[in-house]
Amino acid sequence: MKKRSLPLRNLARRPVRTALLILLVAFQALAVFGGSLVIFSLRNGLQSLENRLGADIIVIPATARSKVNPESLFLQGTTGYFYMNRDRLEKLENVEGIERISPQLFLASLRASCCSVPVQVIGLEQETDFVVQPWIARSYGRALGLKDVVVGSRVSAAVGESIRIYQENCPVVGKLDATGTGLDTAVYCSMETLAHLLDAARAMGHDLQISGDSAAQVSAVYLKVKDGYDVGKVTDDINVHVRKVEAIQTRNMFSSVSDSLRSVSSVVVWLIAAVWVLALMILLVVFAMMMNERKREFAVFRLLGMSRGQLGGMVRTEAVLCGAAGGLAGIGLALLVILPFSGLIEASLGLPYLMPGAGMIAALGGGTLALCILMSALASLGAAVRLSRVDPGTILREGNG
Amino acid sequence: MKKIHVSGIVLTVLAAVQAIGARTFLHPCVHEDGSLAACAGAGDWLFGLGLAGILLGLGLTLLPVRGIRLALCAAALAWGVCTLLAPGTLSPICMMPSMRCQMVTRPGALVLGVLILLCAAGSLVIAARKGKRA
Repeated sequence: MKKRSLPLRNLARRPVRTALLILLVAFQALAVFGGSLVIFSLRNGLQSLENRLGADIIVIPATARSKVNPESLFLQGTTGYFYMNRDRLEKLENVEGIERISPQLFLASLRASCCSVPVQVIGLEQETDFVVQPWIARSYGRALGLKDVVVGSRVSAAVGESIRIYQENCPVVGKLDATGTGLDTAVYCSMETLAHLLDAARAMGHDLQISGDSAAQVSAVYLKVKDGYDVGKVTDDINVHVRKVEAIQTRNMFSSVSDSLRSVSSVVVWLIAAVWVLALMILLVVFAMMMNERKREFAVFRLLGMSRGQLGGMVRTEAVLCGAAGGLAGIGLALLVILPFSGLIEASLGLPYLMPGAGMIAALGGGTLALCILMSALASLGAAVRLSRVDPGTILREGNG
Repeated sequence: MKKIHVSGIVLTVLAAVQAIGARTFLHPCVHEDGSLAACAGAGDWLFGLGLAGILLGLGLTLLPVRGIRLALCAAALAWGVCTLLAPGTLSPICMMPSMRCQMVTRPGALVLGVLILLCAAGSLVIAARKGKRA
């Protein structure tokens, strides 16, 4: 029998013991890899939201909060609409410290067919928009024509298809990258298209609570503050000097998200730590018990000519094999659960959640595997050292006594 | 004493989870008015496949004849593939990724399908090996 194949044969000879060791390591790997993947996805989501909402301040009608929570509108995809007269835009332009200003117009689509859900339709003023246009330019290089729409990554319509909103067929000309937020379920179009859709909605008897011309309405105004001006002060200025509006600092919106993210992350990190300490302790005990149980077997190996170093190496190889198998099983199980259920995790957490790329996932998996192998080797180290100190003759005599 | 095969027990448990899940925690979308959604068929497929899987699993647990075991393992592989394909291919599901059938039923079927395939493939290898040794 070759010495190299000994560890494998030892493991195969005791399938239940081997399976339990692999299961224990798999549990560790599942906790570390799964937990890290969730934390990275949350951070990724927050980063992408910060990038996408490139404005410093969002101004909405003062009565908007009674209709829909703006945070849930942007983060969770809650549909809603509220309107204010376009003349507010001119008043906002007069506020000191504003560098760029662009309005948006909202409309929630109706539940159209058996299973479609309402989507948020957002009209952009293409001449002034600095928030969504840079992202649209990645998938569609031209200006949006009448009825042309660009959809978020989670709207199930491909480029070239049409979506039907209030009996109007709107061709999809582009699809945006994922953000892991409610923005992924929105549909973007020009102000002209949205005014057209608003008229169509009103023609269908849908009460949008708009008085007058729909082209003279806006839902939200996005502002970029000039360098050197304090965003908080500009926000306060707007809230004091412009009537019937509410200015929200986007940083404040993010800070509530990042607070939630911090608390979720800390819970996950503590859980991972608890699982690791517990599993490491169990591994140490299991290896100690295993070595005790296999004392006679090791004594025979020593009598057959195996050196102490070779015996220790065999034990370490067994541990490393269990660590590698358990690590791979745990990583596989985590991927099998976390990747397909990412939509459910996002909906349950109510936070921006965007999976990292394949490279990052592979790096996390590699790190977890290395950690599992290292921990298993370390757990077996003490047992291997103890083993090398025992005298085979004494052990075999004890057994015969 | 009659030998009980562990892989058969695992497959029976997975089948029971699938059948019960299709009617409870993995059920597809339901309209607010209680009417059937377009994805209702996917739930029925998963339920039916789960019931068939229970019979397969029990057969694999109790039957010792190699030929029958090999046939049951092959059938379990087909069951795993059908479970994977039930929501979306064998039966349509809703279009929006935020719908329950897309967020819960399809991922659930994917996880169950992969576990069934792994277990069935393992059983098939073991059954084939035992035959070679005999």
